[in-house]
Amino acid sequence: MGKNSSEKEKILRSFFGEHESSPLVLEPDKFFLLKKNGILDADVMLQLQSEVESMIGDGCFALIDREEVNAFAMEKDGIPVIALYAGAVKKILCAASVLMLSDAFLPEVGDMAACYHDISSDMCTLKTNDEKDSVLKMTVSGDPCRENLGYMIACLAIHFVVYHEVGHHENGHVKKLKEKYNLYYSETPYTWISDEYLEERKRMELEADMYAVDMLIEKIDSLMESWSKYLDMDITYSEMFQLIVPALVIVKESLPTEVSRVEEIEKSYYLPNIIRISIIVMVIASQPHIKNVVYPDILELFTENEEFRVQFEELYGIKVFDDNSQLTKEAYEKYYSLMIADTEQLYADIFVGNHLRTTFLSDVKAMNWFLYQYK
Amino acid sequence: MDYINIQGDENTIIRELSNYMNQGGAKLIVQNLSSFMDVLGDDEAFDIKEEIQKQEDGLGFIVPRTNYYLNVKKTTIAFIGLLFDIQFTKGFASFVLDILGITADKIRKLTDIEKCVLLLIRTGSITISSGGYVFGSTPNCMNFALGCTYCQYDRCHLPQEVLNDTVQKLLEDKVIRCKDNSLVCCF
Repeated sequence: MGKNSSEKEKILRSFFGEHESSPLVLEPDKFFLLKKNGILDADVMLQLQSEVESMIGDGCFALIDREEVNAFAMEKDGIPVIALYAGAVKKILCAASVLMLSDAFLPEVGDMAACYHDISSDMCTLKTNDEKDSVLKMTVSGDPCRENLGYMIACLAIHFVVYHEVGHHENGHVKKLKEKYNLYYSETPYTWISDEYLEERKRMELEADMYAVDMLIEKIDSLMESWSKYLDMDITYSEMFQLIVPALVIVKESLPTEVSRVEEIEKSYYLPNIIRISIIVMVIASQPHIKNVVYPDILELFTENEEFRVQFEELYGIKVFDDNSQLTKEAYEKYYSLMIADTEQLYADIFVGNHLRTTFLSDVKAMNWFLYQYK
Repeated sequence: MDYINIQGDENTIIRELSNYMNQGGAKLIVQNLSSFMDVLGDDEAFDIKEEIQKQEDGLGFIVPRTNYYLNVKKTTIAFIGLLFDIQFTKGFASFVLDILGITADKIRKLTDIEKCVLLLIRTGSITISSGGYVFGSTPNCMNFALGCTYCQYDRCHLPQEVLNDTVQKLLEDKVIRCKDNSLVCCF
């Protein structure tokens, strides 16, 4: 049985320390004032809460009423806890809604007249309740189709972040680090942390990512079913894949910079974010049941558009079709890699104002580091 | 001279810098400022300190809190923002226009190599010698021009001819000027 609000408040307050004056815990139905949409609303968050609490066994899932963009897994007095910050939810929702307002993202889907050309992040349409700063509504240009897609992207992103934290508990990371290491809050130079600890943390973060991917892949079917039912339409794996990629890009761009600062990769707990999401997308794209749907769709795209195929082959030096007129592995991998790159560029256009190569300095350095390290 | 003085975690820095530019641009500056430490003057500072997690009854997998201390001139932030072609807020854009005039737009439109050379000039790595322009010593690569073939072992090996042509172009654009036998930025 899950913990109630005041029990969660007590657990988290003792973790954060008594100096926190305002309440820490938000109940999903007090925070998620988005109108009932069957995709991302109070009911869906309560379901996620229930699902997570049953996974971690007599633990609790808490929404933290703070603007930080973060999530964590911890244990207090033997009680496993997963926490997601309200700031993270808002940032994800805002990014998803602004993406859907752009006519450059998923063009031809929904009412394009309701979209904007050259949109910027100033047009973030997340309106909040002034009193408690709860998420009141996400306005997406009045086009219900694109609004729903925005909720889907945000829903996938939030599920991934939460499952990542569940992964830490399920893989025994929290207990293991408690037994093996003992660290203190202090401003300590990097040199204090052992290389062994850093390597172990990197491995744990990767394991948590892989756990989250497995959970998301399992969850896709039930999400597709409930969304299809609620919206009275068919949603395919291909379409879900097109939503998962921007969801992961939003997660990557929402994470704090410290995990992507290339100069400190060796000393970071995480692989660089671009590497993380590339690995995650690769794992998802490799799933047989997803590949079986996405492959033919991409094949059809190249078959119907000869000019595009020729340009693709010339630009990337990759043969699109093999001797049996089937999509080659290289073309498939390149195609979904480009999905990540295109979404990143669009994100940069909206949130930075350009997609110059220099905007992706950190990502390029990270990829060079990764290729050098693991060649 | 106006300074931007901010202390706190990344969210705080980005929030404060968002008074001058869009949020994505603010994050980009924070991501890359440590690469441009040599660009900062003696009266400017950018310091980063990691806070390590305390473990008592449990270990939280919170991303380690990084505390930033930023004390830089507005013109420095403007310069880096222009190099990255970041959109400024209206107020800051007016400030930049007042200080830099049309040079601001010229900086935005420079090529990657030209921006790199400008950074090298800003860090005092290029001097005037015998009517031409030379590196004082082999400078560190500014890592701005991605995939630059002149970077070897993280050092800049820009050929003399390319260096001369690029500096000349920057002089003609009035982005830099000669002062007392050295090159300085026009801002």
